[in-house]
Amino acid sequence: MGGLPTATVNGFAVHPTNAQVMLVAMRDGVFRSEKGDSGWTAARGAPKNAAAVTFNSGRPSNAYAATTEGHTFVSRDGGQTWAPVR
Amino acid sequence: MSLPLVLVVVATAAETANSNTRPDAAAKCAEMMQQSNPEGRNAMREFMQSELAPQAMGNRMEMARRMGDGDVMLGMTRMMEMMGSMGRGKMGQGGMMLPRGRTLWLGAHTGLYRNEDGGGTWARASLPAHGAGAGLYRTSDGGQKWVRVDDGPPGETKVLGSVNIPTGMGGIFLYAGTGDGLQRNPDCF
Repeated sequence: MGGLPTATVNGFAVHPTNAQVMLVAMRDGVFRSEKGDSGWTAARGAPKNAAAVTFNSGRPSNAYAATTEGHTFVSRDGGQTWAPVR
Repeated sequence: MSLPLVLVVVATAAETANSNTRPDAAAKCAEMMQQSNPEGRNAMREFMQSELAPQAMGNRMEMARRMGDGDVMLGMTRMMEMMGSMGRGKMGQGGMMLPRGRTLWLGAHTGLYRNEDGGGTWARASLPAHGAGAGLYRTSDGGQKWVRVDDGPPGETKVLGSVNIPTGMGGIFLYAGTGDGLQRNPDCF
């Protein structure tokens, strides 16, 4: 998968209305693709040790990631940039 | 993936999805109440007349208080927006709004679990006998009967996703997050 590290994938999410947009949760962070199986880039501000990731099915611009340490991060731009949930 | 982790993700999503609703909380809540469909109104009436209602409403109020940071009306609005985002729903046992016909599935090291009430009660689902071995299993009847259809991707599979991207051969793709990265395969199973 172009640009995605060959390491353990802990979580995987597909945009509810655009199946080409995907997020992957890995130890090195959250990775995002807009091309289904290629063009993966590391999302800015995403946490290391990402354990799970999901889109808000009713508001897909929002996405959530949880870490193995139990912290939660939110994205308001479809997974491109992330910030911790206070 | 552990059960507590999944629940953390779901609960946090509910609490953070609508953080900018404070100014119009009351108006928005009233508007949403008025827009409920006839089926929803009937379900609400049935529920309110049932013996479950008092306790469930108490639970709901407590949840609203927490979701609204102490402001019950704001919490109610957040709850309703969250439920609305899950699709047209119905009232379920305990008074929780359920996505219509949606089953949640959870694969854990201890087995496969299914849920019909929005995350409250998890029941262990039947999988084939333990001797059947690792692999990819398919169900066509909502999880009652499972058939092993493939060895599955190499390595430990952590997460599976059916992705609506055409393969060009009449089907779509199945993605698997594994110990060796993300793999995909035409879903011909």
